[in-house]
Amino acid sequence: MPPLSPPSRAAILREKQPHVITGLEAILHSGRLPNALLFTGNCNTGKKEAAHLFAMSLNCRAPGNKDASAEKKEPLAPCMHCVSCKKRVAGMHPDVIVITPEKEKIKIAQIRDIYTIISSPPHESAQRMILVVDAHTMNPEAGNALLKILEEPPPGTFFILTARDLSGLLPTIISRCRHLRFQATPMAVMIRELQKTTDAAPEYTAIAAATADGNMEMTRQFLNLDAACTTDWIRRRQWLIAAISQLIQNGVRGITQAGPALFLAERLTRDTGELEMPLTLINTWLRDIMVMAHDPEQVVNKDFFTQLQKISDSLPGTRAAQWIKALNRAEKRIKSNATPRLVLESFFLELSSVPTGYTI
Amino acid sequence: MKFSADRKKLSGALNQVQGITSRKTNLSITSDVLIKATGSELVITANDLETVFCGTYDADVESDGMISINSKKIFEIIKEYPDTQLPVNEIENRWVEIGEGNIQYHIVSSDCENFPETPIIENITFIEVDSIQFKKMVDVASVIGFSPDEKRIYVLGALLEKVTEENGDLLRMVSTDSRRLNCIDIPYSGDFDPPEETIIIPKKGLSELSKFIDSQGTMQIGVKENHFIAKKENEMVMIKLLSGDYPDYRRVLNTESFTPIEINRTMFFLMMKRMSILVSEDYKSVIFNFKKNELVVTITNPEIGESKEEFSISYTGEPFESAFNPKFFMDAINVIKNDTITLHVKDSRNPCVVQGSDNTQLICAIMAMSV
Ligand SMILES: [Zn+2]
Repeated sequence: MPPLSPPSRAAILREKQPHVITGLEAILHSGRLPNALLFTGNCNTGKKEAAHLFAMSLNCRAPGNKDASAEKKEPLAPCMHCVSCKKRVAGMHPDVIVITPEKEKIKIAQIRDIYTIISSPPHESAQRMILVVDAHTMNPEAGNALLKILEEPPPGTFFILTARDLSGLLPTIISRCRHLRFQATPMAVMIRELQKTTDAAPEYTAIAAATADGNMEMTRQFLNLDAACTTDWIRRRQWLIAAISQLIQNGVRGITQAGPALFLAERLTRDTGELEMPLTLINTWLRDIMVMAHDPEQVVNKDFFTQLQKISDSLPGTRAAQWIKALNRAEKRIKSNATPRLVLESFFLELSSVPTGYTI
Repeated sequence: MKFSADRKKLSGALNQVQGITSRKTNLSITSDVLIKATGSELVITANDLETVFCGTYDADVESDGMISINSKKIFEIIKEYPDTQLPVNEIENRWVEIGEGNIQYHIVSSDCENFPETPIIENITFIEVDSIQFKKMVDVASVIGFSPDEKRIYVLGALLEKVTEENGDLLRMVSTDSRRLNCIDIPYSGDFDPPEETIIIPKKGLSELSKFIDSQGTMQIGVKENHFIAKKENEMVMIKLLSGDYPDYRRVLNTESFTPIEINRTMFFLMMKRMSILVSEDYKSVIFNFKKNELVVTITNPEIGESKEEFSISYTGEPFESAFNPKFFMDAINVIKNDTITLHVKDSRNPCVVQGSDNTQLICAIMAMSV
């Protein structure tokens, strides 16, 4: 994975995270580099990109960039052409050290490796960057080892830690870092960016982004843009919406066969057991049924508008809200290691049950 | 880029860098060599971000240029190529053609712009050392290695310093793993003005350096800008220094209140070798019982058995018992070549300091284990 993107992405980052960019440029202007920066925010808010951009700007060798503290309009604008920039774009710079979780955890051995690295000066740049990605995955042992390094920072080295939020980080580490918060990407910016790479209709891009609640990774999967994902999510969504609607309508019509509910639970848990995407789709669908009753403008699944209207009209107002609660309970149970198929069976049976106090 | 060069010369140069280019780093390009052709020369560079090799060789250069190519593959090709001259030609899109006529390789090279930079070190004053003595120094320091998860700087590297003795200045190298310590001095000529910071040379670099030292003539060495540099006529090795503190090793070597015991090198070596047969991962210690004019050495390994040897020595001090790892004595005796060696001992807590009799330039100290 190339850690950096072409220069236009720097402009996008500037648009997405104006406060962060201002903060980083203030640091570059002041010429006083903090030992450690802490970037917090959701995934895909540009934390890693900002880190690389910062290290690039700090070490760019283009004439105008030699002295970052010099009067310049946008110090956070590396040339992208000098040896230092090119190597960073190619992911081949010896003074960029990236520590990422191994099996979802950053282990003490990985932090100890930093000791060896910092025992000699940077190889070919003034400021070496050690980027600790998802620092919240460090256990206290690893955290304390990192703290020791941050307490006696080696010359010519700065640290950038990224984390979802401050929870899960040692307070002693937080207090040693300059903290910058990354905002979730505004939906409009995200849709505009995605629209450049997809053939999907703009309406559908908006539906995918809203369903994923702004999570870029998930949105890309819903748009079939994720090469690593083999599921055709555009078709799968249509199938799942049809199946859920069928269950609900069965209940409304007083058809109480358990078969379709059990089949759906089995089908969803059959292969990978990856349930985050389907549950997100179901959640959005139920939310739409609820929203339809009082504010149809706010419906996410606009391509199924008529069907939503029909379902919403056939149900008592509180029904969808009860289902959403039931779905949240189901998700919690799955997270706490209950058998997903059994949890989903009982949830789908509830969806297809005859609404209480309601007869045709 | 297009050139042709003597196959043997190229093969020799590439042979020396295989250790550097086979070390795993966080950059894949460190397994490449950079070949730069200009005028009538080739410059070959290998760089594992710690140790840099740079050599200049004659060549018929048809057009200047630079390629970054897998070190192991090009070395193997050159080794097996049947002609005395080896033609190399960069054709297009980083494809490199090696050979001509019946034998032709097309090898894909990588973007040479990503090759790590060679540190630029200017205005360095070199001192001159005898190659054989310097090789001995490097090898004595390399005997004491380190485990893969070692993090202590003074174990990862060897100390280099200047010592002033009655008959002039000497160059000293000290190496330890905290269980033993080797210290070797060699003479040099020229003005050695080392930087104030402690000079700690990584042992990994030293073992690469050893391959590069000839068995005759002299070498130039120097220290500047965080690098140790060793140079021959057309080749140079630069090793990035480690930064950290080195413990006070002189304390370990101070044998003022110790008793010297002269001992036959070969006999003592063979005894240690016999003792080491019973050593295992969990039981490494041999008990040395120093008595009046006698040394009784025993080893007890509950997993295997025990062994006992008696050895007459000229010792008249207080009797005491101490424990050591016999393998460390074997390593020490392997580098001390004198027929008679001297063991300096004091008590069960102090190290045993081994020296060749009438040789003050090489000292090996072996720490006592708890009895
Ligand atoms: Zn640049």
